[in-house]
Amino acid sequence: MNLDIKKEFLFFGSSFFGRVAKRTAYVIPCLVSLSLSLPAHSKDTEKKKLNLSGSSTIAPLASELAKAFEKKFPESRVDVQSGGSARGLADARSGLSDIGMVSRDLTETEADLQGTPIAYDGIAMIVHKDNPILDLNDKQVVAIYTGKTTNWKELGGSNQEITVVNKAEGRSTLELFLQFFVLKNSDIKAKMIVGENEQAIKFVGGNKWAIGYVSVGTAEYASKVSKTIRTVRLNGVDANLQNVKNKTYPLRRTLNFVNVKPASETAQKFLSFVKDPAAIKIIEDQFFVPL
Amino acid sequence: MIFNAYKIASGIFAILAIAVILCLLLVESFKALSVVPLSKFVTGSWSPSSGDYNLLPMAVGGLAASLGAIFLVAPISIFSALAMNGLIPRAIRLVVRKLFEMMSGIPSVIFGLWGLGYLVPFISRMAPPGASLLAASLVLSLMVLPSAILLVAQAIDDVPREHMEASLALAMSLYNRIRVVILPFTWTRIFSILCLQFARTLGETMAVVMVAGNIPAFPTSVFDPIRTLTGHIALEMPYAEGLHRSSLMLSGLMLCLPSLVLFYLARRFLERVRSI
Repeated sequence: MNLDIKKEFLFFGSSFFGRVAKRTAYVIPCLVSLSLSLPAHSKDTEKKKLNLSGSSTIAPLASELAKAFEKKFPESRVDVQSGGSARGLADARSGLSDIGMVSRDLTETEADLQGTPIAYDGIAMIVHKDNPILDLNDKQVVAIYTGKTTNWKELGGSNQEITVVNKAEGRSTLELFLQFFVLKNSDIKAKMIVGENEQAIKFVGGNKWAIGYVSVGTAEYASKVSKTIRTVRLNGVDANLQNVKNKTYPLRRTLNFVNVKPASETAQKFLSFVKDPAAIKIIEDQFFVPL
Repeated sequence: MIFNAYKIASGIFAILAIAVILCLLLVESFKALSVVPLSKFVTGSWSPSSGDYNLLPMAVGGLAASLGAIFLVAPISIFSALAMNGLIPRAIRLVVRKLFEMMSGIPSVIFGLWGLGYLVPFISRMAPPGASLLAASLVLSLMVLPSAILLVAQAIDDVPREHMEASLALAMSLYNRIRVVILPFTWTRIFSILCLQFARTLGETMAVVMVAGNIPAFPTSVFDPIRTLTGHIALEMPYAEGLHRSSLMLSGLMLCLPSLVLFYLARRFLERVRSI
């Protein structure tokens, strides 16, 4: 028996992979023990933990807020997970997370939860600065994006084909855009799909007859600094931060934190931290509109 | 002894790294593979929110862009390398070589920016929207061209001196020298160089995302927008959840397979060089 095992081992060891396996054999336990030993060093248990989950729009903002919060209150630890507004509501109700993130206005059926608005988010339609179109209404935008209007001529512009720029699946700007214009992503006949706002601005800035949409904050900044793009008035309202703030611009939404009543001490601390000047700076840096 | 141990350790590390990456991709994409029927990944459309996960357009788009780039790069790099090997005066050759060396150091995203700012608007004037398979192939070929030329030139330099001298002694014409001496010695290496550059173009992400249009549909002409597998992952991964995320992992796995095959091919051709 003993001999057999040895034979097997010898046979196994004579192949290339056998040799590799023999030599790697001691590395794996090393790696495993290393990875096991790492978490043991963190002092999670001593810290006051706060879990946030929900909207992927808010998650990047919340992570930045969490970092600043941890710096200000070193005894606390904040975890942020995304997963959509629905998950944020469900997790907050079930107690899986202390605070849920919801990237839309709260409805009456959600009155059981305490909602804290943290910022506004708006979307601006953008075109190249040389495009004569200044104004669009929502019917025209829908027609452009569903491929019913394919030439700027039909909207009173130049005789040029429209290049429709859309956002990639999963982006929060896409989500709000589809929700506002009551469209399905499969209805949209795009010629170009971009990820980040910056990409949309670069593309529209380089293509005279393109139309796209980006976060209002980004659009306002880019049209001032790079001067290659221009925002388009939607239903006669200028797309700027001012109009998002005073709620006259239609393509906007409120970003909310929700939690069960009453909030825990740490959660309450985090919710009031959102009104801190440092937090407001973070909100602006992420191109959202502070309250 | 120490050097040997170092060699073995780095070899093991390389194998482990690839194994870990493949395992991770397999585990992460298992969720999608177990829930979604396999046929769903090659038919229908791509819209994960309504349960459609067709990855075939991305695979085809990526392959088309890379193949296009390599078809452009192959003749240009071989002819340029031949020219650098004796057709042009030495002084110019040195300058040209330095220029290519500098070009090969330019980060690929710069080529992407150039494509976005100049190439795409230029193509768009001929056939809107401009962001297209053609733009992607051109940017990719520009990206790999300098290093391809330098490597092929190196391969031609390595043709044994005696053979070159013999061809001169025989008063062979330039055409015959290339045909009888240079190409038989270098074609396997040229092929392996092109394989590795092909793998590079397959893996390129940002430069392609900027110029390819990223529409998840089959292209019908070179002026149609395409989406590559790498661009697909880069665009959607940041906000993907659940099955959507898992299907993106599967596209990562789909991306690994041709890369591994290409590396294997490159290796095989290099081994043939050694046996000559």
